[in-house]
Amino acid sequence: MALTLWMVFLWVPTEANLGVSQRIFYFHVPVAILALSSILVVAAASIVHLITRGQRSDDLAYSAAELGAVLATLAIVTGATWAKPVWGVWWTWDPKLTLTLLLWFIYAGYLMLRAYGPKGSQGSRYGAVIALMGAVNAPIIYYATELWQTAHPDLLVGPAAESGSLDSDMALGLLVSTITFVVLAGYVLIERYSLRRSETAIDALYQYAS
Amino acid sequence: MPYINTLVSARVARMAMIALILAVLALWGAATAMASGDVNPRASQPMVLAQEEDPDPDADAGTSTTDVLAQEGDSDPEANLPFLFAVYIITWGGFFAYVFAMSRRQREMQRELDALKAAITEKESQSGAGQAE
Repeated sequence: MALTLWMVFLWVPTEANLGVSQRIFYFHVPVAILALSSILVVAAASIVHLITRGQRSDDLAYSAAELGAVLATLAIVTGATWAKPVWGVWWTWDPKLTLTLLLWFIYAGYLMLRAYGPKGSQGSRYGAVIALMGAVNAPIIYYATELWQTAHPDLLVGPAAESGSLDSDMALGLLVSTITFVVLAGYVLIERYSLRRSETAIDALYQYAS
Repeated sequence: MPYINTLVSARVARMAMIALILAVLALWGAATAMASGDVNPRASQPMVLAQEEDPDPDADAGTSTTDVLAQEGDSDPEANLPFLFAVYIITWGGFFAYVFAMSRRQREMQRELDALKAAITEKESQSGAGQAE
């Protein structure tokens, strides 16, 4: 993590047109990738839960949804902070931005349903349906710049990115930054999952005590 | 269960400590870079970023992203440093806030667990007394 911060602030070259604001890229892109990946984790865990009815997969889905909501919020806010100096506006109803906002609402809907909706297996099933809707949205967000004419920069990472579309030093900086954020998010997810397991166990104890 | 709770709590505290140290380190690095007057010695190197070339300049002449980027960049490349710091603080602040929320929830769970232990002990002692009678 210290290496990443050193690379972002001191090592990577400053982009000629955008200046230092381009360095926001090294925070925004990994966080956005993780926000998209989280909904896929939620959906995968939800499918496992629907098949096996296991509590562990449901706990994993809930934990990933909560972390995903945090990451989606960060992706939107960091994107807006990048958009202001580059586009001159904090927000525009660009397809990619709008779909990312939709993803945020999906996360929020999932968490609100789990908090205030039906409890037990019924709540888990309803949540799984929302997670699957979010999983459909994830690849559309990724390919939005290919599908529509959009102000958002073209794809620089992933299967649809053109090779050589990024300076080699910047690509290395982005790679290190992405690995760091993946490790950090993975660690937070494990902690949240442990906490969720304890919460589930306490709920079971409550039922036993009453 | 108490062992698990203590373990998770210790981990969260350790993670928050590491994050704090890294945040201080990064701020120090950024401040050093700013004080040196040159954010990066290789700043003149060109980079390839998306939409360097407008595929259809006639489609939205004068308002394309490329044009906006060029106009913004021509003035002062370091003019947008506050935005970079804002993103840095928001990203770390977001993670900090989430870790803090997790640690608060952990404390609440510990209280709930203590209450549950007391309730179960009371229930068991009552049932034991009932059986004795």
